[in-house]
Amino acid sequence: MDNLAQIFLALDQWVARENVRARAEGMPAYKSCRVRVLGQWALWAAGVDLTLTATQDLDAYGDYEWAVQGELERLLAENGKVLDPHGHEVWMPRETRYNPLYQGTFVEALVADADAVLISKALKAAEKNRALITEYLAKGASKRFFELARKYRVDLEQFV
Amino acid sequence: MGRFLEDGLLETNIEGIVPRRKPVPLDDALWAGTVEPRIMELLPAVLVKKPSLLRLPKELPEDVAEVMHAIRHGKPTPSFRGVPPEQYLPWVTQVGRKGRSPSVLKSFRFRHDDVLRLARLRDSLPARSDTEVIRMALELLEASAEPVDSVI
Repeated sequence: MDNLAQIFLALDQWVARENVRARAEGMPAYKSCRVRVLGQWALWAAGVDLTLTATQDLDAYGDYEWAVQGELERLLAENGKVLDPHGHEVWMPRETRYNPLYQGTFVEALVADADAVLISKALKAAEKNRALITEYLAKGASKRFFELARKYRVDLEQFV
Repeated sequence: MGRFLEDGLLETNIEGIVPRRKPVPLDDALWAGTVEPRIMELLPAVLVKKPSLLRLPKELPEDVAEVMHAIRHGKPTPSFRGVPPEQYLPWVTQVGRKGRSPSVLKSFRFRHDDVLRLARLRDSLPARSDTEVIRMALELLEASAEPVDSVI
């Protein structure tokens, strides 16, 4: 996932070009957008010391306009990835911290912090992520992870 | 997993997994799916859209044959070894030829003049086959049809 920031850079450049064209033609320009990367790719981007396997789909919250989303989908497809159409439905804890991945003129990309992603996985898709959560617990999960688990009533017993 | 890595269906940071080109036995893939659920999630789509990744036995396990039949024929899809259809179906359009779901065989009886009309349309339209003429006609019909609830 080294190229994720590159993809957002390319998206930023595309929006910039389209906005120059739109202004020249007297059309409305695209607004700036913020994309928050979630799920497995957020763990990957965070460089966590865990065994990760990911499919091609990228879960993200984005406040982009339709055409910008379309261009992001095209850029992801060029890199063998798919924007998960249900990515915006992913549940994340309210305490999720989003760390910068790319900051451009029109596009800001952030990644969800690993503890929040793992809590989301443990609560909403425990079976699918059993090995991942078990490994995290075995390696010594953070204090924050346990706090979030307590708050959101995640049954950690099922992973041990 | 190596076969799926080679095809770009999965990425992993597990060291020592070598991308491999040779088809893998279905049994091995099914076993790997019990270790890594994402493999199980991809398997129905691979079985239908890119079976060349796998070495299929002469007789398929019943649930494998069932899920393949359901996808191919547009029938209600069952859960596949613990993976619900809403998790594996999205991959059907992503694996193999992108954006395409498998075509379904349907047979119709046409009158002779319908067959002639179809042939005329195939020649006059940018259509490569009779199926494409019918597909274009269906799309046109759907686009021109008024939704029922908008009729007062």
